[in-house]
Amino acid sequence: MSAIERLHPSPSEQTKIHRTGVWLFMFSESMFFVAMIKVRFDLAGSFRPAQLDQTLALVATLILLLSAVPNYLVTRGWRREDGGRATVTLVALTLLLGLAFAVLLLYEWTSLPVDAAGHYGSVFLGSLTFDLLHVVIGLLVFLSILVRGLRLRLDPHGSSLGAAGLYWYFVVAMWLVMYGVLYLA
Amino acid sequence: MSDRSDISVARGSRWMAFSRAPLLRAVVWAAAGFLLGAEVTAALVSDTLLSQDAVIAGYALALLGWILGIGGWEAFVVPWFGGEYRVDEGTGRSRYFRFNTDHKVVGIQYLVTALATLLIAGSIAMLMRIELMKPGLNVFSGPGGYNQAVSLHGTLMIFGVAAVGIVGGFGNYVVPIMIGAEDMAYPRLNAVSYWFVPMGVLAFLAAPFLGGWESGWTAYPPLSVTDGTGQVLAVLGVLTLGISSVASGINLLATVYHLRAPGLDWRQLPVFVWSMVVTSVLNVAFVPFVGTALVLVAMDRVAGTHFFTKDGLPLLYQDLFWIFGHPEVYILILPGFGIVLELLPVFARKTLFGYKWVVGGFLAVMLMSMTVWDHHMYTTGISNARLVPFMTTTEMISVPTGFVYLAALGTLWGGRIRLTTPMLFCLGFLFNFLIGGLTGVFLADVALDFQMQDTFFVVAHFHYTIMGGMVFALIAGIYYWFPKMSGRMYHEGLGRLHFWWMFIAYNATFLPMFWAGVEGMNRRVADYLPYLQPINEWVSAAAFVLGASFVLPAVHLTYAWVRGEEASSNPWRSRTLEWTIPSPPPKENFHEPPRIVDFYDYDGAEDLEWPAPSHPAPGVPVAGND
Ligand code: HEM
Repeated sequence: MSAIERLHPSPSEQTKIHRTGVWLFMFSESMFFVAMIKVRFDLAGSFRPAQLDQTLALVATLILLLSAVPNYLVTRGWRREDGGRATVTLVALTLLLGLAFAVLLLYEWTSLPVDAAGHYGSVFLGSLTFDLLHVVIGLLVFLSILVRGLRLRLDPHGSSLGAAGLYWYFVVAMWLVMYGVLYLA
Repeated sequence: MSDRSDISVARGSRWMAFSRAPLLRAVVWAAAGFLLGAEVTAALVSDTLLSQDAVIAGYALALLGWILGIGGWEAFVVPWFGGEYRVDEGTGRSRYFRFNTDHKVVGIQYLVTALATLLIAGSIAMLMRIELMKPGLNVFSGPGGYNQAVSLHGTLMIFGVAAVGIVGGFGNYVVPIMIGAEDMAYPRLNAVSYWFVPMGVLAFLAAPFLGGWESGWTAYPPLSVTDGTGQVLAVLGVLTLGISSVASGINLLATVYHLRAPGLDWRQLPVFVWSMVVTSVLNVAFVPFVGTALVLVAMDRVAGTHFFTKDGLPLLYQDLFWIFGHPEVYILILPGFGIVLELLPVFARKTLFGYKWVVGGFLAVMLMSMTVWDHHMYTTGISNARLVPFMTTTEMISVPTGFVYLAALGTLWGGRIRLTTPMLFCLGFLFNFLIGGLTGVFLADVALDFQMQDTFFVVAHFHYTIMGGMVFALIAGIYYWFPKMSGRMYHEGLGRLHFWWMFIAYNATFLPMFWAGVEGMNRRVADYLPYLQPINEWVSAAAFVLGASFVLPAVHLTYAWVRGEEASSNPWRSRTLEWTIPSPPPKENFHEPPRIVDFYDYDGAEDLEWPAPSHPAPGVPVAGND
């Protein structure tokens, strides 16, 4: 390879470069959650109202955790020989589980068992808004991947699917943290 | 018959012209987005069209329409679904008005936008100085008029000029070339990061039509929650520019990490590149804090929460804001130091003194900048236990800053100094920043800050660091890289005139402000007691002379860009990589592999003709493109 060609990144380098970008993006996004954790403890201490629907939250959390399984299989390239069909199914599964989580959370958000004007209520509403925003972004990405899969063959080792999978792990991890902070603290 | 076909041709070409003018399309899509969002929200929440909920929803869709319209549609949406990447990036001048992935075009887009914003915000400062000439003048309408002007001026300057000028402008233009790369790591993200900026600036500028906002650039609640609807636009504008800053931070970091030319080690990186790395880390890590703070303010306004009002904690906002805000001021000044330290060796013809101390100083400032925020809150009633620790950290951060400053002096010491325009601005930077930095150490002292907080002493202090520092460095960079960017030379005499005019008027305006502050002149108040009138008259008069000094370079540099004498590829006999390629550089930057050398090894260089004669090097085309 001549030196001047080294100035163009190769496809495998491109994938690495994209991966770096996703990591930096996740680092930056995680700071929103750091800020929200500070808000939670500054404003409401470790207070937790009795009206919180613990069962619903636990079920939602388990569903979200479950969604990491098909996501894992996608990013590992499970059965990718069969023309991308397994990949499409797995992405769809992740999407559905994520959607179920979002619906449960949205239900919690709208029925809001606590007073939004109070300390914990403000924290609750604010945190859920931030979290739902991240979930919805992840779902939109998966949805667009599925639509893309109607026309193109999905390659689990391509940079977009890998990036989406990485981001979804981030969404799951951030909810686990916020679940602990909001429901268990 | 023939009539008919004429009509259809005309219609066709009109349509073509429309689709070829992405800026027009962006405006139309943004307007459509705003109307859609605002109308739907107004209908659903049964509010008026310009209520704050409607403005938020409308703005979100307007931003989307703007980004898609300028080229995001062709650049992101179409290729994602299997279409081809087909963006007409334009040629010649039209490139600057389009979605363009060339880092050099993006750099110039940022630079020109920041300079235009500087002129607008500077004009607002002139109005403020008219108001402050006498107590009781009331040139602004309404009781909040003056504070609205201060808020607009400060917000535009910080978020629209200082945060994006050097990082967006030279970070984009110079960093890839300095490290021997072809472009940034994510050229499309880069193009789109720029186009967020005009939208953010326009949001600020539109705010007065919705009643403006009075809470300053810091937007402290409770005022920012009870303020008029204009505050919502200020919040949205900061968020927009924040997205852009994070994106360009990610881009710069990935670029320097992945795209350094073979053989270019971290230990050899030019200091300007180092300053961009450090700044980008701060952007990526801390902008989300102001994002959170402002989103929560917006929620207090529209969602019925009480984070900061009623039983909430207004000081929590200040915490979040300054956790971002103090790193932010280093986001503003470190790029300035980067430019100055890059230029000093060139114009002192001498090796950069203490390269390792500079890089170490940058990294130490980066780490320590997150430990000092409470010094903005000494007088707010925070617990006494927080005062002394933060005073200590604040005074400690002046130590690494001192390394960097001493490296600058060490480079000058015994150098063969060339007083060109860029060098004059660097020296002006060092003079001004010394005053700004030392008064900062005074303010770090709790006892003194209790006297000085919210007086013009503080106003003078931060203008000395931001305007006397960052803006002077920005201008030094503009003169220095002007021949590279335009392929033409500016007029040295006019450049020097600009420096002396601006430097003297600048100090005449801002030095007396320290005194006014000590004498009891309050910040963010339109009126004052009569005994302060003489000093304010002087400051205002000097400010008008300062304001006028901006006309000279605006005219001069615009003229030189079009008509100036042709510049050689390396008029300053610099050693960094951007000077090894033609001026202006071709799109792909390097035709042959960049040769990595010791970038600061000027000691051995013989005394060559100065500045270098302007004939182009043999075999090198003068004009790359444009
Ligand atoms: C053209 C020369 C300039 C003049 C005459 C000027 C003058 C002023 C004045 C009179 C104030 C308001 C003081 C008060 O009543 O609180 C102010 C505030 C401010 N200025 Fe400037 N300024 C200039 C340039 C700049 C530049 C270049 C920057 C930064 C890049 C800047 C950043 C700020 C900021 C951040 C504030 C604080 C706004 C607030 O209180 O929220 N100014 N300036």
